[in-house]
Amino acid sequence: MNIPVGVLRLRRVVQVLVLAGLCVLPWANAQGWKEVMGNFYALYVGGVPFADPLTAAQNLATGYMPGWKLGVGAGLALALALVLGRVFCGWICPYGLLSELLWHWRGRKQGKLREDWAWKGRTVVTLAGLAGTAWLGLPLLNAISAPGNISLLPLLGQRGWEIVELCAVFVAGLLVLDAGLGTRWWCRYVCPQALLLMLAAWLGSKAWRGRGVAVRWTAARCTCKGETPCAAACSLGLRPLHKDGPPVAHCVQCGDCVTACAARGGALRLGMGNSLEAAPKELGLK
Amino acid sequence: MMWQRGILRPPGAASEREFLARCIHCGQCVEVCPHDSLRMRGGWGRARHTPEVLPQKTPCYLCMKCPPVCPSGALRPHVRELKDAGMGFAVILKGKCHNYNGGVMCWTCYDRCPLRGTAVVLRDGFVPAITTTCVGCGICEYVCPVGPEKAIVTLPPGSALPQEGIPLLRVEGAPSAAQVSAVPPAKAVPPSASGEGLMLPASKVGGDV
Repeated sequence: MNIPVGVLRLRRVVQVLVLAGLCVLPWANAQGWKEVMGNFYALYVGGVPFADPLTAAQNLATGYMPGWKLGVGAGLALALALVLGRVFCGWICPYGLLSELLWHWRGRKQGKLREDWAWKGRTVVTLAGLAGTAWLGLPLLNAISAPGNISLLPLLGQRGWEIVELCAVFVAGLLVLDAGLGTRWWCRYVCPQALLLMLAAWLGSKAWRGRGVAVRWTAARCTCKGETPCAAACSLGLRPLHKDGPPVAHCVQCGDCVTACAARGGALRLGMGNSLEAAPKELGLK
Repeated sequence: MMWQRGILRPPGAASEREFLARCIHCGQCVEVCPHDSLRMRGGWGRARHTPEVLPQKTPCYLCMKCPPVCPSGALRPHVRELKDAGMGFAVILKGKCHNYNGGVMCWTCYDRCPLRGTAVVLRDGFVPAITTTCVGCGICEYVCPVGPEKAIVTLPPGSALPQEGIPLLRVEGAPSAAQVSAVPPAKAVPPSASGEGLMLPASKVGGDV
């Protein structure tokens, strides 16, 4: 089963809608609409709790068992990553959107992702953050959560802009650094919120031997001969041309490589299952 | 003088230490609050992005909607009753309260207390007094007509009694008589026979502090 390229082209719309929804959420809540509440630390959606797994981990680090909603919410987020990979990073995360737009604005150049650094970088940040959390007795890693800080801004703003500035300073600082370096370094190497999602995605890819949702490459259709528009399209610097597709732990399922490839041979697809051949119709190709 | 006080948390909050460790800053308590009573703290301090009640802006009306929505257990989800809110306690400041200065009789705090007759009682039938059943919602501080500094301050659990603060009347589980006494006992006004109807029910109050 594959996701049509037309759906992948809607990703930006989804990202923008998520960001816009976040911005109006506190006002909607104040009007009495409480079907969605919270932010990217913990989100309640129509009776289902979701949570950043790292918040539950931080509760544990301080010696407290998280409340059941936080536990279930974190579990749901990890279960989604187990099956769907890092869709949160590619489709939902508001910082991911801003970081991507900056990368486009800076001219779409990206060096190859160093996978070992991507693991080690955020592992070091996460472990140091958890140690600090245990030491100080408060969720320290929340302070450097890019999606968390962005999703807090509207609520802080609604209750008075006077307390917003320090939260905004962090996000603005990240964006300035991202704009200066132009390499999406926070998303690629640092963001601690992605570590547990990466682990879940990696475990999922091992557990089902590639039957979860992932980008897959069909060598027989690859017609570019030396050119790699798929790799050039990847804002994270992954190389999709591999028999297993790009590494599941690092891929955020954005489908940009698939879209780029659809204009050529259609050798890449994003979907479930491990059938080698993709039906052209299914992919939306001629 | 701005009173130096601890942070007044939403109803059902765990102890401050546990609250700080558990609260994940998701803001759901703030968003569920129908009265705009909760605010997220700013700044870079330990309590950054945690909810608080500022009684002089908007007190907590004890609707008890926030404890069940908290996902992390920073607010204990089983707390549903007003009397269990446990946010803190209010203290009347003797030097500022009308009833202790110039003879103006003022029952604003008593009249507006959601636990009227339990948390705020009329000592001797006419002097508002706060008992140990007070949950610290801050409504009395909000409505207190004394200004610019209020004659009531709402404090989180475990706070020291402020200067001029009148100690709370202790409410025991099984009181023997309608003995309502303030601390220090030497200054207590003896219960009078008049105004019986306005006094705290005999079954609720008793004993010394």
